[in-house]
Amino acid sequence: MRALRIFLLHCQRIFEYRLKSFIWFLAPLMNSIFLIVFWRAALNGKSTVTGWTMSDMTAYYLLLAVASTFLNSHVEDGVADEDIRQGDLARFLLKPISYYWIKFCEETPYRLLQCVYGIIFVLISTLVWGNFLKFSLSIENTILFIMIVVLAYFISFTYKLSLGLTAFWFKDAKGLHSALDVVALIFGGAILPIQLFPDYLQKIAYLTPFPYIIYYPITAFQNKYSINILFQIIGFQFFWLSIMLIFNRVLWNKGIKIFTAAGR
Amino acid sequence: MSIIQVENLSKSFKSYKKAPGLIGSFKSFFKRKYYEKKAVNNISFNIEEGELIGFIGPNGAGKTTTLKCLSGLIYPTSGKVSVLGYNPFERKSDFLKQISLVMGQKNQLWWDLPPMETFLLNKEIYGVNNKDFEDNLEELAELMEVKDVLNVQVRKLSLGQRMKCELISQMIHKPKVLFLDEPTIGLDVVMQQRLRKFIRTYNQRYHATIILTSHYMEDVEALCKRVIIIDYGKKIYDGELTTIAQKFSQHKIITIVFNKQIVRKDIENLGVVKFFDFPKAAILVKREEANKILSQILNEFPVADINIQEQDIQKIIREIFTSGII
Repeated sequence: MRALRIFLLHCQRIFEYRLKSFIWFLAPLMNSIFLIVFWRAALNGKSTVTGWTMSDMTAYYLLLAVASTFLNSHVEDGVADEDIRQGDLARFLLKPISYYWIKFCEETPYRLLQCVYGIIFVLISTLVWGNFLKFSLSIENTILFIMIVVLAYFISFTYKLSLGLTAFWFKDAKGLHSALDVVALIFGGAILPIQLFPDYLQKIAYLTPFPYIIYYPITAFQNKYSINILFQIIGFQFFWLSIMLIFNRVLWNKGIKIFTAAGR
Repeated sequence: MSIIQVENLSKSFKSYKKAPGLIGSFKSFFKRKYYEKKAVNNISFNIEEGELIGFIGPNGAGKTTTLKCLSGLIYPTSGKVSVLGYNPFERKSDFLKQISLVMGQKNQLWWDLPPMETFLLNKEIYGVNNKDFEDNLEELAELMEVKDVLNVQVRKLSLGQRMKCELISQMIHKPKVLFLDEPTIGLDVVMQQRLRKFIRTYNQRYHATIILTSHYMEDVEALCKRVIIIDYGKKIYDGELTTIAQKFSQHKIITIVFNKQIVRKDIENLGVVKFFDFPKAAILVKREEANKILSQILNEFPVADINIQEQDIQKIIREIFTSGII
């Protein structure tokens, strides 16, 4: 109950930043619109590419706009610059609550608000441009899809938080973050669906945690998997989340010993 | 048993030196000369429950680093620290619920929301029940005289109001141990006095243990009986504020009121004349000669009143830091 009350207090706070949040939502939206236009031109009358129709493609990119804003946590720069480099971490360390959960409470309301913008956008575009999004999931699939989305968010959040924690050692970790962001975007299916990759690149992508953050939640919503496959995806998500949490703990336990609380 | 025990605490920071200019930057890109700076160097002290201690020293003396070690923010390089029976670096929840570290220059309030929202957040974080929260807030807001701004956006508050709300937010859980790092910095004289009054009241009412660092000696003089002075990371004094003069000052001041006309020249051979405006004069004399000169004045001059005093405490401390009397 206490955790929920803390979370709700942070939710209240985001309404003060609704405009800022909306502007940040526009960036992935523009990206998706651009990619839809690109694929319309690229397909140029062909009905499918590796089994993907234009309708599938449009739905994928519309869902990508929502998934990129909701599932793609951006906690790393704040952790690195404000908390570690400028010493703001000091104020969290003095509180009887874990840093992981307080950052989770700070970050998640933004993601939820952006998700609401995304859903509104998808509903409007479906009304305007046709019936691209068909919700055809059974109850079982829907439950598994929700689990996949929740786990995807936890993987993304834990991964980005860990990236931010590298600032204990790197003075300017932005270059590292940007380089890894590009890898995450490509292997996460944010440029094009992984199924359209060359075989060798697909194999590499599936060995990384990134498809489990955006690609699988989108394709699960598009009803592309059987129940068995959905369970497999969830299993791999638990695996990656465990790896991320261990990695996060190691970074935290080692980093906190060299934290100087400079500037505080 | 002391509530705070510090034994041979040391904390070093590793840093590197860079020669100025482009060539210096280029060199440091390939090879860096690292050096270790001892911010806190083997200090020990004990503090009893309910004490209000002044922790003083010039910039970079190691005051804030010591407070950070005591509150568990940073790991010490060596030494033992115990606060309320806990090892601060373990940052156990029960320990954190009983302490607070307030840093005057830093804002922990939510900038775009009223202070009340941060108070409510801290209430949940510290697990304070509704009744205690209401009582504590009522009392703290009254002591601080900020009842009317609790629901105004933080960014619209004055610096003084913000600082007071900052203190409330850090004390909503009624900490038993309070570390105050420059709490009055940047505040005007009236606000400084109010904050001092608040700190004194909190200390007396709750028997709270408080360590205060401040650049303003007025804060320390007004609040602390005992002071710990550190410089270059080393403890150079630990004792009553009033005995600092006896230990460090080489001089005393004799103030005299004459009842017959004399001129400044008549008293110049007694010591350094700090002030002369007939009938009043003040002479700075060597501590060991003070009694002798006092008798000489009484014997040789028409004295209506005479007084012997220690030097101003602020001046002595300034002298300690500038002349290196250790």
